[in-house]
Amino acid sequence: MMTKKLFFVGLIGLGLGSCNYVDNPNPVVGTTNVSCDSVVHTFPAAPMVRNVLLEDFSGHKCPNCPDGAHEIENLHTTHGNRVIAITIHPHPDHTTMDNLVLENSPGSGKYETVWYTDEGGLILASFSEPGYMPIGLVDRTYDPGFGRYWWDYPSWDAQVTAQKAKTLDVTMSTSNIRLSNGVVCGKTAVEFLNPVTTAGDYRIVHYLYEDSLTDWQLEHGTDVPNYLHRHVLRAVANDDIAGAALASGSANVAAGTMDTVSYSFENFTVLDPTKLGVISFIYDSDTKEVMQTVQGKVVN
Amino acid sequence: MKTTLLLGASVALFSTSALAQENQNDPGQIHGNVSITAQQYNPDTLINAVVPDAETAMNAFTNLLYTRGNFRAGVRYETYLNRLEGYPQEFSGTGIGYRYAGFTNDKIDITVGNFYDQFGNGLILRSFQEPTLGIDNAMDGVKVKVNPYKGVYLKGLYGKVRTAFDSRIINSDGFVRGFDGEVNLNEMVTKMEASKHRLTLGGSFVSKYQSDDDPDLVLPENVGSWAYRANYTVGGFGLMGEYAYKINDPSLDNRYIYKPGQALMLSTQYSTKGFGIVLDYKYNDNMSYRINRDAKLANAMIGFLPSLTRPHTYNLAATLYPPAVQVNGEVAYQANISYKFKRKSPIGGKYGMTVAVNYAVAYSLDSTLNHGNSNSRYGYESTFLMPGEEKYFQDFNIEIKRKFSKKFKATLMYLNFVYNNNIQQGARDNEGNEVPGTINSHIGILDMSYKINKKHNIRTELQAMFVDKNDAGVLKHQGHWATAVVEYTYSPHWFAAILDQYNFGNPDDVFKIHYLIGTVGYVNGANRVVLSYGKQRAGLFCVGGVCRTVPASNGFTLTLSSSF
Repeated sequence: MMTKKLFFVGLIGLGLGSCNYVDNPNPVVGTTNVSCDSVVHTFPAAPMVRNVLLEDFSGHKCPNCPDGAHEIENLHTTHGNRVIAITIHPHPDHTTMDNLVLENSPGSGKYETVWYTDEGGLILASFSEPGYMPIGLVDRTYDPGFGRYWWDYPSWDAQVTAQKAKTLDVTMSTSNIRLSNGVVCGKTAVEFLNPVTTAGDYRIVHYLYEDSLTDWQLEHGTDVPNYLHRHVLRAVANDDIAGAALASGSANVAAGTMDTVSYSFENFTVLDPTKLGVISFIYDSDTKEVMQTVQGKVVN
Repeated sequence: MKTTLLLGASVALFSTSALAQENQNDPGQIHGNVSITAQQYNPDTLINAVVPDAETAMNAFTNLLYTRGNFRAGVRYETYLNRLEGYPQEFSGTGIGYRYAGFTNDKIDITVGNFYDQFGNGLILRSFQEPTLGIDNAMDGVKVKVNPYKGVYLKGLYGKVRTAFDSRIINSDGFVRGFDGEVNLNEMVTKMEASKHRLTLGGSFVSKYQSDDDPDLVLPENVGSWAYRANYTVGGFGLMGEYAYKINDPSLDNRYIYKPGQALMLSTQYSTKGFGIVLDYKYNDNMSYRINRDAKLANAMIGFLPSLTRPHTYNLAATLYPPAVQVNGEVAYQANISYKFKRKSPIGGKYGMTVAVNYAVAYSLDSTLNHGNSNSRYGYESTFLMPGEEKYFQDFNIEIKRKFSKKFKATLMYLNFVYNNNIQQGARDNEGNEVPGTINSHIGILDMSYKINKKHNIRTELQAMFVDKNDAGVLKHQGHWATAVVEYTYSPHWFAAILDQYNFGNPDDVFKIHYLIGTVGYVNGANRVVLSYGKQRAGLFCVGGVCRTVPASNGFTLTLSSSF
């Protein structure tokens, strides 16, 4: 009898200790005035599998764009964190689809938030605007069937699967990322695992994104007030969508070549600085194909 | 391998302990059952029938259960070569999908390995198998049940959850622990043993663990839930209630919001000779509870949210607009009244007549969205117990059963479904696109059975469904349907049937298709073999509010079941 009582008392104790209440869903971001220069950057182990970058182009007045967002959720279910997604709202100056992305005037009660960025529009234009959304770039691979780099969202899964299976030629690790005095800064460590050759060079790009923001979205004709906008592009490091050429990354690169790249973001607009993260990726400027992508949260 | 060794050691331990108390000459008993469903697929472009590369598919399982005295053990061998089309992709290969050993005496009951169980109505824990749907969330771990005092039943469990089968059991990364206690006051208190008033009280606690691997969110790794329940009966009256609560559990289902969940089920019933009434209420707010927060459909479930609708078996009523439980939230009501008119009364006739009326309806939650404020990650605020304005589903049906003579009996039934396809999402048009809006349908059914003689019986069903029109004046979804069934039984072993489901009201003439299926079956004791051939339309197959998609198919289907 004592054994049974002890068993159940123990079980109850285990159970009651098994609840995690989360008061702040997003990690706390440091607010100290430590400058980026004085930050000690540490690097976790680099992933030795190929992640896939999905650039989803969207607009808050684009009625079918939530289908793309839902597909990203499906991709995360299927592929886990090996799919790294960013949602890009292109600036109306760079697209003919300005009616899908423009904000309403203040006081209108909805769609007042400015989601688009100039860089987002430039990225869209650099791949020749497809004329509709949702649509995406999957590791910026070329679709010979359509003769373009764009992939419709129903084809994302297959393309992600194909990209995951490719050889990982370069690995990356993103350091701890700090927000200090309105500046986000961090470093990315790069190591080439195999010898590679390009007619151009290897470039690295850093995206600053803001995650999990609740705001208006048109969804199949319905105004949804609390739509969850995830991984929204807020800025590109140095305002340069082409990114920085790796010092070691042109023409022929030998296996074992390493590099460390610093980056910072300034003068960006965000709604909630506790929901920031950085996506870093390397691509071949000749083929435009992304070779590896990593992601980090702004956490001190 | 490690699991197998552990299980083997457990079996040996239990066996030794049990054998010490049992007659060494008793070899024990083996029981089991076999179920095989094999399907052959033909191309049929008209209905867009699926044809897998292998052209055939088979689902099968065999349970082998061994008992000897207080000891028990069992395995289930499962085969999906390949799984039937439309069956969840989490099932593939062939191998052992369930194994356990256990020991029982008058003080304690222990199970190691796989087991199924349910706390109360299953709101926070229901581990079960539903092979027709492709649900198997068997637990894999340890379960202990004790009866420390008369009328007091305690149960504790700790284990992983089966999430898939790939020639072996695939368990969840996380695990579940829980305990349940139930007190039967009539058994516990001597003075209440003979009382007409029967009261049972119960409570349970369940917690799941899943690691947080999200780079952006702080996810709760331990999510607890608890429930209280009571069941009271006196004479023909009964009252049952259960309340459940779950702490923040962001998941794919709720779009990763941190709002706690809660649910309430109430049911009251009264019955007397010839008359019965049941009233049910269910409130479910954000109570999806899975071992994998990123799972969807019917995968990786821990808790179970029951449906408050009458399960239909007639072809059109069961297959066209079956409602699915909305795991993110709904408020549902159901009333069920049945009355049997006496024999030799003016209405009841010589043999009596039964009338049953059922009404079930489900609404949205009464909720207000949190927008652009510090609570936005909590999704919405809801008013406990109150329904919202949007109707998700409604089912009104009336059934009249009457026996007219020793040879002839009939059932007449009318049903009205209101099916909000924006929510239910089960209705697709001829091109496979979801149909927007609400579909209102009326179904009439006449089921007649005539006993020709002692061995021969013939039964027919005539069914028709009529749907409303959209704003453009076109019949909604796929329009009107009719079904005719003729079934001939040659007792005690043989039966044959022909079913024709005809989409006579499809707005597109090309799709006015006859889905014709012929069936022949043989039954002998515990053995049953059924062979059918024909077309099956694409649609939903639902059991208890849980649904899976069934693709269109054309071909032979063989089912075999047996037990020993």
